[in-house]
Amino acid sequence: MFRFSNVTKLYAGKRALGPIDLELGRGSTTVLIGRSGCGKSTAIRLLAGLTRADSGNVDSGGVRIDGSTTEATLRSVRRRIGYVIQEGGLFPHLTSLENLRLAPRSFGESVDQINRRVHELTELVGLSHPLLERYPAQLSGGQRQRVALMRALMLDPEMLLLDEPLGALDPMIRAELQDELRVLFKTLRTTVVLVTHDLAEAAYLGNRIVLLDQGRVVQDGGVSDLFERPATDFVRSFVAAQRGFDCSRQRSGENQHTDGAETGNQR
Amino acid sequence: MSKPLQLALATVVTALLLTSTTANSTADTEGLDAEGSGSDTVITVGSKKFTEAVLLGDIATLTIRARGLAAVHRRQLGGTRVLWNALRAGEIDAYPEYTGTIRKEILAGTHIAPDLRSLADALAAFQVSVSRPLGFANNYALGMREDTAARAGIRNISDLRGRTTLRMGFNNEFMDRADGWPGLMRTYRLSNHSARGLDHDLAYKAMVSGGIDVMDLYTTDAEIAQYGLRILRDDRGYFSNYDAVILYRSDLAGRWPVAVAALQSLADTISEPRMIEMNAAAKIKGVPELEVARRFVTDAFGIDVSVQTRGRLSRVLLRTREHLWLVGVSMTAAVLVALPLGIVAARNARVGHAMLAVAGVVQTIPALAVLVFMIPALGIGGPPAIVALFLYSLLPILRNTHAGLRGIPASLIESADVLGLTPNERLRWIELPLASPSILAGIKTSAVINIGTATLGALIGAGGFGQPILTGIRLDNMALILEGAIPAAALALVVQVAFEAVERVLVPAGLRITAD
Repeated sequence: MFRFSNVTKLYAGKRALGPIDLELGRGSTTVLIGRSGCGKSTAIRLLAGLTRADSGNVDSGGVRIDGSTTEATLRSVRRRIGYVIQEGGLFPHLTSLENLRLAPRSFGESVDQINRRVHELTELVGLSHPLLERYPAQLSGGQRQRVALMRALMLDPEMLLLDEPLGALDPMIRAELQDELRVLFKTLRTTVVLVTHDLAEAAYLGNRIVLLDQGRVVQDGGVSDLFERPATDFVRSFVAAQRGFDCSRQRSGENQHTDGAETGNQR
Repeated sequence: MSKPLQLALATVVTALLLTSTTANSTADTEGLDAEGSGSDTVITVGSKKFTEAVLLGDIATLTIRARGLAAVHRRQLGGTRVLWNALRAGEIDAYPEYTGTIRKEILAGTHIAPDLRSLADALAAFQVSVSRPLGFANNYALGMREDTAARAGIRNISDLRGRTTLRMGFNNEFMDRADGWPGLMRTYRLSNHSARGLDHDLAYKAMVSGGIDVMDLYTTDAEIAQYGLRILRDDRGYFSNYDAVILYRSDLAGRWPVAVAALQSLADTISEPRMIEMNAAAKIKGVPELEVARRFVTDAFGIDVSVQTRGRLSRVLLRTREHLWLVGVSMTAAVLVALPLGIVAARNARVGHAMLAVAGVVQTIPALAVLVFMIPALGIGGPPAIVALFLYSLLPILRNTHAGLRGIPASLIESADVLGLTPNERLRWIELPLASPSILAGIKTSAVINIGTATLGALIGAGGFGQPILTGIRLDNMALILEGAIPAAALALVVQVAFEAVERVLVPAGLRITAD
């Protein structure tokens, strides 16, 4: 069970999310969509235990996360969650294979187990094994995101969180990966939450779409509901705007952490 | 190794070989080091950092050795304060001094009758004894060029009265000291004269070129004879007596009576002309100090003291060993301390801020001041130098560790967290490798600065490449200066090159790939 109960999250005194209540059924694929700053990334960071709610609580796979949750508990939450960010978040000093081994090593899995899992996932995401010997800088954007996806799946997570995973890719690769993700979500039967600001992508990949605006849920339902039964004027204008032009190339400035990745470059 | 570095290294090595074949006249100036006598060192003689003091130190050491004892000479340790403190602390057993300096500087403020017995009694309170005078005094005096003096008809200082056209140039210390110009002016009523402050060596040059007419002298200066100067008679007996003596620890008489006997045997053996001649040999003719001292001991006692002379190569090797010791120990300690501190500083912004501020302040304290502060607690030699070098090496490592860790993109830190890595794993597997180029650059900067700064260690008897540089500056001997400066520069280059190799091993390969 994954559930937000009356959750509010502040950033620098400003409300970034909430109060919201949301329940994510096991095995479902939910897309959180909205404009920059609507709170969608905050929501999945709460699920991943990367941050704690200021009020209310998050039930992440049976573990209750609130202001008093310990680091050790958060680590046990992360053990059961896979997480992919826009730029992949691969470590540049490690080869792809070394990136894949990090989490299993941390949780004490055997070399055999790890190798077996790598083998399975290589086939699943369609990467050739020699590519895994390369460093992230030696891979294309699409290959990097595939490795990032593999890394998130190494421990066979109960929930897969993807924060704009295709946001940095060019349209061709993006379309290709969308196809692969769709197949993958069906194969895995794991609970998936995907964040995007692209309505077409949301419609293609999700069977449930949650539209957020200023930290609140404004519409929650199937794809067709958005078009046929928009709950508010905002929903109507959001849908209309996305039909008018393709804004999928724009980057989301919402997530402060990915912002950090772009500006806080190492050297 | 990169091409430019190879080239630079080759140049330095060539230069080193060239100087070692061209400058033989300076062969062995430092043959009485601790290394020279083996490990059974019993008596340590010290000396101040001017030529006459070093010569007397060499003479005292050789005289003790001539009696079959093991003695070493820690030469040019510093000024009066450093030597006096080292003697009292037992770092050295004896050093040459002047009675005037003991009265006016070391025991300033205490009234002591003019006889030597009273002086000895006053020193006894510090468990220090004084030898009988060596036979000469190195006093203050006024001097003029012979021709100027003859033309103006000046023989005595009192003849200067009213001769206000004569231009005077005095050493700055003499200008200020109560026993210098102010008292002289009163005693001889020279108040209409104006005098300029000048460096002592430059004053000689000014005299020769006619820029000044009267200057202050040390009576054993070799330049007096060299330039044919006339010493004006102190007809009112103004200047105090600076008889050369040897101060030694009173406990030496109990431990090594033979050594005390040896020092006492130097009484009345060095006349003023002889001292002047020895100063001239060392300073003007470029005879190595140790050789000058050896000739004296042979003449005075009829003993042929054999001096094991150390060749240039062996000297450079000894200095290299000393230098590497200073740099190696201080750098290792600095890395062991600054790296963890840098990690703590990166974790906590406020603590980090404070630490960097403190390290920055330490960096701004002049090296010489740090060395002097260390003397009371750590004495002279290696330990204070190593502590000072350690302090100077902290900041670059601390700052670069801090900057390297803080510079890691937040998204990567978050990726590590979300994978479930523990803080310890995150540090070892992710943060330190990502920060390694910056950390290594900090250590490299530190090491290069350390190698340069370590030459100052010679100022407090720590040896190293600074030793020949210091002697070279004192004796105006370029070959000796280069003997220290070139290996120091070469060592800095070697360390640079070594770090390139270390970077190849320690910086993860993935970080050296430029992203397309």
